[in-house]
Amino acid sequence: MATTDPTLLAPPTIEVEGGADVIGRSPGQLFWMRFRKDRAAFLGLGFIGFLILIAFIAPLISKLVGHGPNDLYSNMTDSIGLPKGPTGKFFFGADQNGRDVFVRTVYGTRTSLLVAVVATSIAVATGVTLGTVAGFFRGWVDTLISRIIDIMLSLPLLLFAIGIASACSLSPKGCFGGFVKPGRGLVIFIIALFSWTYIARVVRGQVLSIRERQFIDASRSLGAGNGRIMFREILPNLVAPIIIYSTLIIPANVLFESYLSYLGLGLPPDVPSWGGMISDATRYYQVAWWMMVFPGLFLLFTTLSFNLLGDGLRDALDPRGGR
Amino acid sequence: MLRYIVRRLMWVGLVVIIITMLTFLIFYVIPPTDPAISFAGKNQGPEVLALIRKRFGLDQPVYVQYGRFVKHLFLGDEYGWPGFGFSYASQSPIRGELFKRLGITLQLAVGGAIAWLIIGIPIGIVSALKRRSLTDRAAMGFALFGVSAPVFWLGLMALYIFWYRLHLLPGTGYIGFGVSPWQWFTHWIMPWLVLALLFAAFYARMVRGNMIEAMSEDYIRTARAKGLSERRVITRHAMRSSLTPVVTMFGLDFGGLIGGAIVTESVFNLRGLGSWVVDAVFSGDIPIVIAVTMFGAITITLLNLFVDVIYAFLDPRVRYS
Amino acid sequence: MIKREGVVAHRKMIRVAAILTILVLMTAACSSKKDEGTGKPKTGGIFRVQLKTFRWGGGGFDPSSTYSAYSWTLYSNLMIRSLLGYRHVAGDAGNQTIPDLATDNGTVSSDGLTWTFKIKPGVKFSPPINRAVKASDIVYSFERIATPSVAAGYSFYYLSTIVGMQDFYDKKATKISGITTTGDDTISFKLTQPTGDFNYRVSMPAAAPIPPEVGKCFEKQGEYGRYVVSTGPYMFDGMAKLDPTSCATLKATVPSGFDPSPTGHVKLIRNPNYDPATDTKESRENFIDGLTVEANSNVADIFAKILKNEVDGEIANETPDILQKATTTLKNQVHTNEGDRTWYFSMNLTTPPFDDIHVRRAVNFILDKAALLKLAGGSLSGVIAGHYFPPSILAGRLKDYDPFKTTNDAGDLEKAKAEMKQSKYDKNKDGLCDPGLKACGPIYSPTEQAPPFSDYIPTVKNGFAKIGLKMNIAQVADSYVPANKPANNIAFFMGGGWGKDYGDPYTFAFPLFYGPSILCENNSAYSLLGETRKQAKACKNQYPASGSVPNADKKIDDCSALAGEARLDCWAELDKYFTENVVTWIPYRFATNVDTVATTVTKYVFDQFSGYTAYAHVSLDTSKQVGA
Repeated sequence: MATTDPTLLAPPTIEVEGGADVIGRSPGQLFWMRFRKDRAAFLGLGFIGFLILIAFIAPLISKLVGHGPNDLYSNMTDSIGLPKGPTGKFFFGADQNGRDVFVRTVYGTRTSLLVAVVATSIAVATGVTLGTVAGFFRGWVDTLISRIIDIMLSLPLLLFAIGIASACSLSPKGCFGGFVKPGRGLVIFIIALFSWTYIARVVRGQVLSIRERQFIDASRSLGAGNGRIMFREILPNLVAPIIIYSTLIIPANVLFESYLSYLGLGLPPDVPSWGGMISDATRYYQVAWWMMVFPGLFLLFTTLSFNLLGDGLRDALDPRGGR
Repeated sequence: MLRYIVRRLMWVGLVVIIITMLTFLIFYVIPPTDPAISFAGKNQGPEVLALIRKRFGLDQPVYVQYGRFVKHLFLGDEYGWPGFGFSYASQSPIRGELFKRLGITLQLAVGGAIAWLIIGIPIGIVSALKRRSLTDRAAMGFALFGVSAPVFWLGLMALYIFWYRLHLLPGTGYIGFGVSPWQWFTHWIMPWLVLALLFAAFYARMVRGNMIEAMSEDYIRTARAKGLSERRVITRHAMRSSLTPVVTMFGLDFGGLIGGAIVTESVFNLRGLGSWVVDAVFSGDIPIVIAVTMFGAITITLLNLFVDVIYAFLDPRVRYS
Repeated sequence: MIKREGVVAHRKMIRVAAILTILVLMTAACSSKKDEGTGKPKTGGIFRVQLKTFRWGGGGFDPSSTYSAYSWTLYSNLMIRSLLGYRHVAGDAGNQTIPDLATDNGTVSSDGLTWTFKIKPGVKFSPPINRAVKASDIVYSFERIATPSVAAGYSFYYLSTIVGMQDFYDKKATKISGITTTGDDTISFKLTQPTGDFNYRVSMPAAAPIPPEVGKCFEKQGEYGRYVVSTGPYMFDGMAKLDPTSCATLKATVPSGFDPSPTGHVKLIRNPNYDPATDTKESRENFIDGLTVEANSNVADIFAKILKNEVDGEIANETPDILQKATTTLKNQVHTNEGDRTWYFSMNLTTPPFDDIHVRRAVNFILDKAALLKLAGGSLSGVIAGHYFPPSILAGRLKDYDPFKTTNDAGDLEKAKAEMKQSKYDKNKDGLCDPGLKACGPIYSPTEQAPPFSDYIPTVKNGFAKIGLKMNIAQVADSYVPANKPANNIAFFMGGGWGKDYGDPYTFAFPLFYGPSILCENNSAYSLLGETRKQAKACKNQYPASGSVPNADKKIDDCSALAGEARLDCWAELDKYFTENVVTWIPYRFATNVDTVATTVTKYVFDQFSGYTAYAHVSLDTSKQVGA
C-alpha cells in the first residue's frame, strides 16, 4: 500500500499573475476563487462536515434511536447466534453480539476521524520539523535524517505495526515504559510512526530549494538567526504543500487504521471502528451482508471525500496542474 | 557509473543489517508470546521448558542469538542455504515453506502488477489527452473510487457478489496450475483485480497529472512547431517524461508487494508470505517473522537499487548527487 | 393322486418361490440404489478429511509427548493399541475402558497397589518391525515417559504413581523398579498409593508399546512422530520401505504417509500385520481401507467440498451457513455429541476482589450465560454449565445441579447484589463494589483476540459493571501467556476451557485444583486453589496478607484412591463443593462437539474418548465419493 510519491508532483508555487496596471490579488484570494469553482471538492468538504457533525452528536443520535453502541439486544440474534438484518428499529441490522450496527457505524465516525486526524497531526508536526531541520542545516544532520527516512520506507510497514501492536497489548502497562498504552494511543502512535516520513521528505525538498532564494540571504544579512529564518521565512512558504499533503495523508491514515482494526489490533473491543466491524463481518457476511456493507460504505465515502478535498486544494493552490 | 553502483550496494548492505537488527529487537526483546511455552504444551514443568529454551537458543543473551542468526543466514544451516532455521510450531525448516509461499505471493504480485499497468496507464494517458471530456471524468471518478476503497472491503464485497450470490467466480483459496489451469485462473481473477484496483487508480491519476503537465511544457510546443505529428509528440516526448516517474513508483510498489500483500492474502485465503507472517506473529513463531521480514526488506532494497541504477543511467545528474 | 397334487403343489410352490425371489431381488436392487445408510455397512474406500492447518505442537505426533485430542483419535481408532482400549462409541460406554492388548481388564491386588495384565498372543508390530509385541515393549514406553528429553505430554499421571518412575526420571536408577515382567506376555505395575483410575492411565497412547529398536533412535521431543510403528489396523503409508537395521538407516528415509508441516498431510493404509482375531468388533470394525488428512486454508471451501462429496469429513469450525441448515436440510450430516469439556471464566483466589468468596458468588449470579451460549453458536455449541465437571464423565450424576441458576440463565441482579452486600468490598452495603476501592477496578483481564472470546467481552463488561466491577478487558494475540504466569497476578481470566484426558474427573481435579500442580510458568491452575505461602513466594505472586488460600488437596487424594461407583460419587460431591463452597470459576458452557460428514458416510459413529469421528467404525459408499 504505497501513497503517491510526493516528490513527483510539482511543488506548488504561488505566484501573483498580472502586470503593473492590474490590481494584484493576494494568494489567499486567488486560492479561494479557484477553490470555489470546484464542485467536487465542495462535495467532499460537505461530506466531511457532515461526518464531523455526526461524530459530535453521536450520543444524541444514539439516544434518539434508543440504542447504545455497546448495548446487547439478544432478540436481534437467532437461537444459534446469527445476527438479524435491517428492521424498522435497527436501520442497519445487528451484529453477532446483538449490537445496533447503525449506532456503531455512527460512533465509528468518531474513532476514524479522531485517530486519523490526531495521528496525521503528530506525523505532520514531526515530519515538518525533521524535514525543515534536514533541509536547512544539510550536512550530516541531513544525511542522518534522510537515511533514517530511507530505512523506514524500506521496512515492511504493516508487519512491524502488527508486531508492535501485539507486543504492547500484552500487559496493561503497555510498552516503552508505559509511554504507549494499549488502545487508541497505541494505534495513533503506530500510524504516526509510519507516516511522518512522507511529509518529511517533501518538506526537505522544499526547504532545500527555498533556502537558496534571495530573501533568505536578505534576512540573514539583517541579522536573523537560524531559528527565526526557519520559522518566519521558510515555514510560511511551506503552508501550501503541508496542507495539501496533510489532506492526502488523512485518508491514507483512515485506511491504515481500518487495516489495523481489520487485523484485530490496537483498539479495545468496545470502541466501535469501521475496520473492526468489517473484520467481525468476515465470519458472517455470507448470512449477514449488512455487517459488511454499511461500515464499508462509510469508510469509502470518508476517504473519497478527503481525496476530493485534497485534489481540490491542490488544484486551487497550483493552477499549472490544471483540471 | 561503477562507483555509483558500488556506493549504492554498500548502502543496501547497511540497510539490510539495520533491518535485521530492528526486526530481531522488536520480535525478540518485546515478544508477543513466549515460544517456549506455546511449544511445550500444557502442564509442562520447568525442566521441559528449560530443555526447549536450550534447544532454540532462547536462553542465550540477545546478541548471541543475533550472531547465531546472522551466521546461519549467510553460511546456511543444516537445512540448506540461506539458513532461516526452523519454525517453532511445525518443527519443519522454514526455507522450503518460504519458497513455496513466495511462489504464491509472486503469482499474486506479478498478476496484479500486469493488471494494474494494463488498466492504469492507458486510462491515465487517455484521460490526459481527452481532458475534461466525459471519458476523463468517468475515468477519474473510477480512479478516485479505487484510491479510496479499502482493499479488504472490496475483496469481501467482490466475494459476496460474485461468488456467494451470483456464483460467477469461485471462492477463496488457491488451485495449482498443474491441478487445473482453468480453476487456477478463475481463482486468481478476484485477488488480481482487487489488488490492481488500488494501484491502477493511483497510477492513472499520476500518469494523467504528469501527462498534462508535460503537454504544457515548452519542449512540446517546440516539437509541434517542428512539424511532428501529434502521435509522435505524444508517444516520443510526452509519454517518455510522464512514465519515468512511474518506473520509480513501480519498483517501490512491486517490492512492497513481495513483502506480502497481507490484507489481500488474508481476505482471499492465499497461502502467501503475507498471511504466513501474520499467523506467525500471532502465534509467536518468531523465526518465520524474521525470515520473511528480512526477505521482504532485501527485495525492496534491491529493487530500489535496480531502479536507481536505471535512473542514473538515464539521467547523469543523479549520479553526482 | 397325491403325487399329482404333489406335482401341482410343487409347481405352485415354485411359482410362489419365483415370485418371492423376484420380489426380494427387486427390493435388494431398490435399496442399493437408495442406500440411505440402511443395510450392511460396506467395506472399502479411503476416508478423506480436511482441516485448516496442521498444528501438532511441540509434541509432534509422538504418542509419548503429544497432547492433542485429534492425535489420540488417530492413535486409538487406527494406529495404536494399549493394554486397555475403548469401544469408540458415543456416551458413557465410549468413555469406559475395555481390554485391547490385554486378555482382560487386569487383576488388582487386594491392597489396590499392584495391577497385572497379560498380553494377548499374536499381536504384531507393523512393518518394518514385524515381530510380536512383548511386555518389554510396554516397559520401554514407560521409560520413554520418564525420559526428560522426550518431554512426555502427561507424565504427571505416572511419575509419582508408579514406584521407582521418578527415580528413573531423575537418573537415579536405570530401570523403573515398579514395573516388572514375567516372560514376554505378563506385565505388573506397583503403585505408590491406591489409584482407582489406573485402568484409564494404562489406556492412554503414551502407555502403548513402542519397539525400542525404533524408539531409542528418536528420544528428542516429537521426533518419533514421523516413525510411529503401528499395532493397530492401520499404519503410515511407506512404513514398509523403512530399514530398521540401525538408527542411521532408519533416519535415511521418512514414511511418505506423514508430513508434519502445517500444510502437510497424513496418509494411513491397512497394516498387513494386524490380526482382527486379536481384536473385538466392539472396539474396531475397520470398514475403511485407509484415511487421508489434508490441509485447506479456506474453511468455507472445506464445507463446500463436503456438500459436494469431494471430502468425507472435517476438523474445523462450522461456518454460519452450515449451522443455519444443521437442524434442517443437513441434519443427517451434522452430528452433535457431548464434548466432555467445560468452558469457564477463572478467578484468582489470591488477588482482590476475587479473594472474597461473596464477590465470586456474586459474579456467578450476574453473568448472562444464555448470551454467551448464543455467541458461541447456541444449542449447537453446547449447554449451560451449572457445575465444573462435564456430566458425561460423572455418568449421569448432577444432571440438574446448578446452584447459581437464574431465570432463562440471563443473570439475576438482585441475587448478585445480595451476595455483594456480604463482601468486604461493599462497605456501604448497596450491592455494588465500592467505587473508591482499587479492588473494584479497573480489573485487567487479557483475553483472546479470536472469537468467540472477543464476542464475550461486551456481555462480561456490561454484566460486571452492574455490580460495580469495572473490567479492563484487553484483547491480546495469546492470552494464555500472561495467564500462565502467577507472577502476573491476573485476577480474572476468560480463556478457560478444559477437556478430559480420559473419562474420569481426576483429569480435571489434579491439573486445575491441586496445590502441588501449580507451576510458576506454564501454569494451568489459574485460580491458584491450594497454593501455599511458600509457593507464592517462589512464584512471586500476591498472597493474602493473613490467612491462606482455600485448599482441597486432601479431598482430591481421598477421591483418587477409590474405584468404581464410590469414586464417581466422591467426585460428584467434590464438584458440588467446588461449585458452591469454593467458587473458583464461573462455568458457562459444557461443550457440544459438532461433526459434519458428507453423504458418502453410510455409517457414522462418534468416539466419546477422543471427541472426534470414530474412524474405527465408520463406513463409506465409494460410489458416492467424488474425485476419490
